This record gives sequence, C-alpha cells and structure tokens, in this order.
Amino acid sequence: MKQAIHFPSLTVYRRLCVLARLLRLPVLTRLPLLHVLVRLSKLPVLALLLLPGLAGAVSLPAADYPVRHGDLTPREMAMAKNAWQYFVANTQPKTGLVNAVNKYPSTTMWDSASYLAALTAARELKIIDKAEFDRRLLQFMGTLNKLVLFRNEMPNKAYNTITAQKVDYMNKPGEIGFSAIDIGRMLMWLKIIKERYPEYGNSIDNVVLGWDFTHVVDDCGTLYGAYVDPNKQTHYVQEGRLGYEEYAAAGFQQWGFSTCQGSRPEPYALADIYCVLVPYDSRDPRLTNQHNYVVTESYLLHGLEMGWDKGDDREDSPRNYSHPWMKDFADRVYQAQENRYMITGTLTARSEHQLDKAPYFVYDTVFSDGFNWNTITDKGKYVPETAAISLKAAMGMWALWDSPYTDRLLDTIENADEEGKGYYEGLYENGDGPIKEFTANNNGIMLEALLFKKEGKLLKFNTDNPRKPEFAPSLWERRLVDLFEPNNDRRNRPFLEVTPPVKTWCDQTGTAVRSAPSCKACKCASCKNEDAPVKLPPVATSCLKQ
Amino acid sequence: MTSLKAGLLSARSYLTILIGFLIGFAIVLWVEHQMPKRVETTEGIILSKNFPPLPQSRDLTFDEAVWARVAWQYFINNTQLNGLVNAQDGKPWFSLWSTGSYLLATISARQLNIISTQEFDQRVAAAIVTLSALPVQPGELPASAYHADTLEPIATAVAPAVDIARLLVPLQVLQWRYPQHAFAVSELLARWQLAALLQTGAPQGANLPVNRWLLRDDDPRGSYGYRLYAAMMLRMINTRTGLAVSQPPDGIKMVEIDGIAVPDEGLRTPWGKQPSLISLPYLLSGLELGFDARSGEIAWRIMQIQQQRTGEASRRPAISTDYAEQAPDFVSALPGEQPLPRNEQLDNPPPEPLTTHPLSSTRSAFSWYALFRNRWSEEQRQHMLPMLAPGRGWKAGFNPDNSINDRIDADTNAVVLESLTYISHGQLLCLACLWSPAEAAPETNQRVSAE
Repeated sequence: MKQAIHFPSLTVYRRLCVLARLLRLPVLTRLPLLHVLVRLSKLPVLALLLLPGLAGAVSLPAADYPVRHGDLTPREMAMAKNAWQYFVANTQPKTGLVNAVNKYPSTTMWDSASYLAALTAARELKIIDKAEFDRRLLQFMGTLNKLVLFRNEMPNKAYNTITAQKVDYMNKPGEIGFSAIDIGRMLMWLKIIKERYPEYGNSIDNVVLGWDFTHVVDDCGTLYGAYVDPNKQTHYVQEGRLGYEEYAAAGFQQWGFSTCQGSRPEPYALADIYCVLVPYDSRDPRLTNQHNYVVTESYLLHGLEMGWDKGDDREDSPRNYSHPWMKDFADRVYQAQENRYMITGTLTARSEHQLDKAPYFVYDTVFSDGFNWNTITDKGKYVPETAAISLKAAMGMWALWDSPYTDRLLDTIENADEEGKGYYEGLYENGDGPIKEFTANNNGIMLEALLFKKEGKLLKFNTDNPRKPEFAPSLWERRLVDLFEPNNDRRNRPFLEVTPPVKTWCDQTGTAVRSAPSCKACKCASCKNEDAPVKLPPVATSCLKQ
Repeated sequence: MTSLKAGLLSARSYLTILIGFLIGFAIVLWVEHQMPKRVETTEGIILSKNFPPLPQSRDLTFDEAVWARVAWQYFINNTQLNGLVNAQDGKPWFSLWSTGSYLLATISARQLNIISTQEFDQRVAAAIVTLSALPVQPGELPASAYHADTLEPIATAVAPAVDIARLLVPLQVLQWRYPQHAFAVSELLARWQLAALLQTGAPQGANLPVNRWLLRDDDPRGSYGYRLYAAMMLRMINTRTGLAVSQPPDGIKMVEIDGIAVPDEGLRTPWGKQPSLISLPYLLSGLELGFDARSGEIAWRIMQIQQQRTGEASRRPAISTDYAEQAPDFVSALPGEQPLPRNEQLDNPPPEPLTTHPLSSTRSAFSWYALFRNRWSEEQRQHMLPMLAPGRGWKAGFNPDNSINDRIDADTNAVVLESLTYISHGQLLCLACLWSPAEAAPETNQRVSAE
C-alpha cells in the first residue's frame, strides 16, 4: 500500500539504525500521527469519545456480525473432506497440477492458487498428512518453476494440466496472454505458503524470480494484463475492477510491489440495493470492455486470506480490520444479499461460477453494468436463468459473518456434493437443482473458508519478521537488494520497503538498499494518503426518510 | 351440657346445610371479588394527566427500512391481475376491510419510498377501477367478501358498515394527498348507496329523528372500539348517518381492571379472569386518522393495563387484546380448499367463537411501538422478530401457548407498514402533515433499485 517510500540513503539509514540501537527504540520512519489516530479510533470506546456525533449513526448489521472462530464440528469436518475429494480425483500424476474443471485438463494461475489453498487447508485440517502434502507440493512447485512463460514474461493465462504446456482457450498449445488478477492470487498464495512452511521458501522465490514484471505493474502501481489480438500483436491493458483489482494488488504488495493505483478504490459509485449502498467500479464498461462485476468472491478472499487487514499488518487479532475500507465494502456486499433474502425470500450468495451447460461460465453478480442482481456472460449477455447460490460464496459468507442467515446458507449447501467428486458449483436460484459441475476454485475456496474458521486470517507472518533477531532475509529479498543483480531492473522487480525497526537488516554488510528513482511517485499524485478511512453512508437515505 | 350436645347432635343435618350455605356464600363472594368492577358511565372520557407526550417523527432505522420492505413483499406476492390483493397469503379472496388494508399499505409504501410514484399510481388506479367493477348486492352496496380472481361475491350478505368504513379511510387519504386519484374515488363512491348503509336496522320511529346505529350481534367487529373507529369515517356520509353513528349505544359500560377503567367488551372466560380488551380499533385510529381524546385515552389506558401485567413483578396474567380473526366460513368454498367429508362436517362441533383465540399479535406490537415509544413497546416489538417470514411478510403473532400463529395476511402487513410510516411521517390522514423539508436532489451516482 505504500507507494514508493523513499529510502534514506544508505549512510543516513545506517546512522538511524545506530541511533535506534542506542536509544533501544524502533526507528519510526513511517508511522505518521494521523495513522496512529486512525488506528486508535477503530477502538470502539475511543471512537465514542472522539466522535460522539457518530455514535448514533446508521450502521449495517453486518458490521457487527463476528467472524466464525473455533474448532470444526464433525459436520464441518465432513464438509472439508467432501470438498477435498475434488482434488483427489483431479490431480494429474505427471505434473502435479489440478484440473480447473472436473476432468478437463486445463488450469489457470487463479485455479492453481485455489489448489494451493485447498492443499494447505487439507494439511492443517489433518485430512492429509505432511508426507502427502510434501509429495504434492514438491511436484507442483517443480512444474510451476518449469512452466514456459508467455513471451518469457509471466505465466500464460492457461496451461494444460497433463503436459504443462501453455495453451489457448481451446486447450490447444499456444499463448494467449497473462492475467494480472490470476497472478495476483497466485502471488498471494505463494506468500502464504512461504510464510507457513519456510522449507518451501527457496523454491517459491525461484519461481517468482523467474517472472518478468515489466508489463504487469507500472510505476504508479496499476495492474496490466496482456492479450494477443488476431494479428498476433500483444496488448497490455489495465486489468481488474473494484474488488478483484484490490485483491490482486494485495498479492503483488506481499512481494514488495507498490500498487498504489491498483489498491485504491477510486473510481467508484454507490448503487442502492435493498437500501444498502453498494460500491461498484464506475469505469464505463462500454469503453473499456470490462464489466464492473460486484460479487462476493473478491471481498471474501481478502477477508479469509488477509483478514481485511493492510498488507503490512502482522497482527492476527480477529476484531481489528486495519485495511481502511475493505471490511466496510465487504459488509455492504454481504448485507445487500442478506436483505434480498429477508425481503424476497431468495437465498442469495453470488459469485462468478461455472455452468454445466452453455454458456458454461457466468458472472452472477450483486450489481454489474448498471443493474442490480445482473447475471451476465463474459461477453455481457444477460442470462438470468443461470443465477445460482454459489457454494464458495455461501461458505465464505458463513465463515466471515456469523449470522442466522449464513446458518441458513450452510444448511442449504451442506450436502450438495457427489461422492468422489467434491461439491457442486452451485444451486440454481430458480429451483432447477444443482449445477452439476465441479471446480478447483469452488472446492478450494470452501476448504479455505473452513480453515479460516479454525485458524483465522490465513496469511500467518512467520519467517520473515525483521523484528525477530533470528530474521534472515529470503532468497527473494537478498536478490532484490543486490546492486549487481542485472535482472532487478530488467524484470522490474520492486524496491524493497524496509520495515521500520530493521535492526538485523541494518546489521547486514555487503548489501545496499536499492532506492527507487527520485521522481517515481510524482507522476501519481492521487496516491497520497492511502490509509485515510473511506467515509460513506452505508444506507440509502431514501429508505430512511423521504 | 348433655342437652346442648344432644341438641347439636339432633340438629346436625341443619348445621351441615347452614355450613354448606356459608361455604357457598363465601365462594360467591370470592368470585365476586375476583370479577373486575363494572360501572356504567355517561361521562365522557378525557385525557388523563399522565398521558405521554406525542412522539416526534424521526428517520427510520436500517432495520425498520428492511422490515417495511418485508411487509410490502406480502402485497407483491398476493396482487391479483385485476389489481386487488388477497386477504390471506395465497388464498384468493378479499373483503372490503382487507382492501382498505391494501390501499393503506400502498400509501405507506409510497411514503416510505418502497415503491415509485409510477407504481403507486398504477396500483391505486387499478384497484379503484376493479372496485368500481365489483358486482353489487341488491341495495347497491358491495358484498362482504369476493373471490379475488373472479370477483364473484362469496356470500350474499352486504358488507358490514365497519368494513366499508375501513375502506373509506384510504379513499379519504387519496382524495386529500393524491388528488390525481380524487376523481376516480368520487366516481367509485357514487356507485354505492352509502346513504342506505345504516337504514336497514330498526324501523324508523315517528318522533325519533334518526335511527340508532345497531350492529349485528354476531358481527366480529361489533365492539365499542370498532364503532368508534368506523364512526369517524361513516359520519361523513351524510347528516342522518352522522347523527346515527355518533350516538353512543346505551351509555358506555366500563370495566375496571387493576384500577383502570376501560370500555367493557364482555368476559372471555366464565371465571372473569380474562376480561376482554380490544386494542386494534384504537390503534388503527391513532395510526390512520390520528388520536382524538377518546381513542387516545382508551389506547393509553389499555397500554397501561398491559404494561402493568407484563413486568416480572406482576403475578397477574397478561391480558391479551388480540383475538385471532378467522377467515370467514365461506372461505372453505374457495377453489383449492379441501372440502370436509360430510360425516366430519356433522360431527364437528360448531366453530369455536373467536373469543377463545387470544394471541399477542405482530400488528399490535408494531402499533404500540409506533404510537407510544417506551421500553415496554420496544420490548413488544422486539418480541415479534421471529414473526418475520423471509419472502412472505409478517406472521400474525404468538398463540396463548406461545406457539407461532403462522397465518400471514394483508391486515398484519398493512399495519406494520402503517406503523413505520407513522414513525417517520405521522398519521396517514392529515391536513398539516404534508409539508416536508425540501428534498435534497439525489446524488448523481446513487441509483434507485427496482427489481
């Protein structure tokens, strides 16, 4: 979230370190007073003292639902085992990759990240043992490291899971571009695994060191995807809309990239959906050819994996959401769906999902392209008959909002699975029964939601806490500060941010902090003060008073 | 001594009888003591000193906005193509009373911004057109209930005056607040011989200028309270009716419960433990027409009695003021209703009188909550949260054994909407309530949903 914090030159920095050591104080370089106040005002008591006027302000019930926390009940364990069945059935023995859709040997970075989520959950929930985990992950990391990249830059959008070749949409060998959103999710999960299981740190760092970030993220932190037009020309275009964009940016951020533009919510507007003001991306879909889907998935993944915290928040307290707006936006998307159920009686848990018939994939949204509860294909065709309760959305909502409504959702989806195949993709809202399709993403997110109940925020900072005396920089970090590593510039690797009290980092010799060019950030004027809380009315005034 | 003993012995049978008399007399005295005191009064009812200050209008809370929309969903689900609405969820019949509820619900939904002006106008216009098309009974008055889909009358009885009075409330509101419908309303009323409404009673006496308004004994809404509520509308029909309906029946019988005198509506149980109270007409008066001193004071007294009996300190049983209104008998003649086998029909005892089904109703809880805002009414409303049926509306309330009465009907849901409108906008029929602060132009990036 920090845009190009400039490092003090090495000597100044060393001096600071010495000073800090003398005073036995952490070097406070980046905790402005404002930030402290924002943090403090999150404490309810202080908020009441500071802002008496806001005490009676309208808030959404969702804001007060706690997250679920505790050991899994036998029923929930049974669900976890059912979901894991998908990965038992769909892992390819030759590559260690998992089919994104049941029996269809193709996958993406996004779906592979969901597999990593499932694998982590299966191990932590003791569905598989360490031996099985290691056997699977060693093979997977080997394949990931050997993948042939798109234009030698980033992983292609799709790979064949049997041959590990890059493929086009028809699963024929070829290359079609890369997706910054998919890669963002993969980076997030590589980070989570690196933190949880440090023994995989080197192989993970090697994968990321092999990627070329030149075109995927620019100086202002905007994320770009790549596509190939019919004339075989490659185009790099801004990718991601509110929700997905910020989630993917959080993945890049974990590796040190400054993603200021990608991480800000602007531009957005609010839609009145059953009295809840739901934020949506206000870029015009007609001009950009990207639809502004509002779905549960992006917000719930941020909640499960990041705990709706800022990227550098190492605290694990479940009641403290340090991200300035993510929890608030997530609450709105949740509340609109609960309200829809309360008012119309339609159980609602919306996300993107596969279908077992044409058009095979739809964005089943809370809002998109100007309409509430819009269900559209990626081409923008309106297909309301395919609206469904997405099982991953239902499960994620269940984990993140402990409410009678999510109890009802879990009762609904509990047994929507098939022996040996995992959970169905969804249950049609119009009563047509289950969507008889099985995917890695759906079952992976369900497993990750169950793990969240047991362990809380899934990103558990562990190995690289620079505050600990035993801190040792990882391969990635060592390489980034190596002034003589030519690929740092060539591959647009980030300028490492130094965490404030980096005593041990300071003690290193022979390395230098690579500084960002002096005027890198001046092009991005809108990236100041990213931590300012977003203050928006949660409820449409027209609902409360005419 | 022996003679006394012998005398007692020989008089033992008389003594037994005397003791028996004494015991019997004691029982009678005890029962009398248990009975609430009844007085007949001709004095007017005036506001008591502790009548609470009227609540200020305020914005709805988020929850209230959702509750209102839940209630409105009932009307979405039950609107017929002809523009009228079933009185009961999924049962295609309506009465004039329930149609009054529907129109008041529509007006409330417009006030609360649940429906657009356009939808409001369409719904109201359709309802009035269909009402005008209702086949009338001999005497040019509508029947008491109709099939909602075919508009055939279900029974030949003419609509009770109280039902017509209820329908007149929203028609009156439409004339004042939504003048675009005023002409249609006048045309509708011109079709019905309202002047004849009350002339079917006792024969006209030569020296009595007007009839006294007699309600039929079997009218489930025949009580003093309903009379008071209906009179406020019926008196506008013409002078003759006005005089008739505003004459009190025979002095007001009052009953004293816990030291508070309220109109006597009879006793619900032979032991007198459960004096009858009816709150709905007073509550409706408050929400729709605004309290006058009489209805306001009676409502306040009933609330005090209830409040005294709900607290933990009270060992007296709570008094219910709501009695389940059953669907009319003829509803079993509706298509889709399973007719009973003949033998079962004969063996069955006649349906229990309505008075045996007290319940604590959702509509009263919401009305108390809107009209008198204190901790007690807040608790009453809180208590009703399990009545929310997602996608269907609000259920009727709790039965006396605390089970849920899961009847869902137009009346309950209309009163929920009316109560919430009262909270944010005050009473529905009001000449000086129309002023509202200039509406801020909606922000350009805020859309209004319409699913």
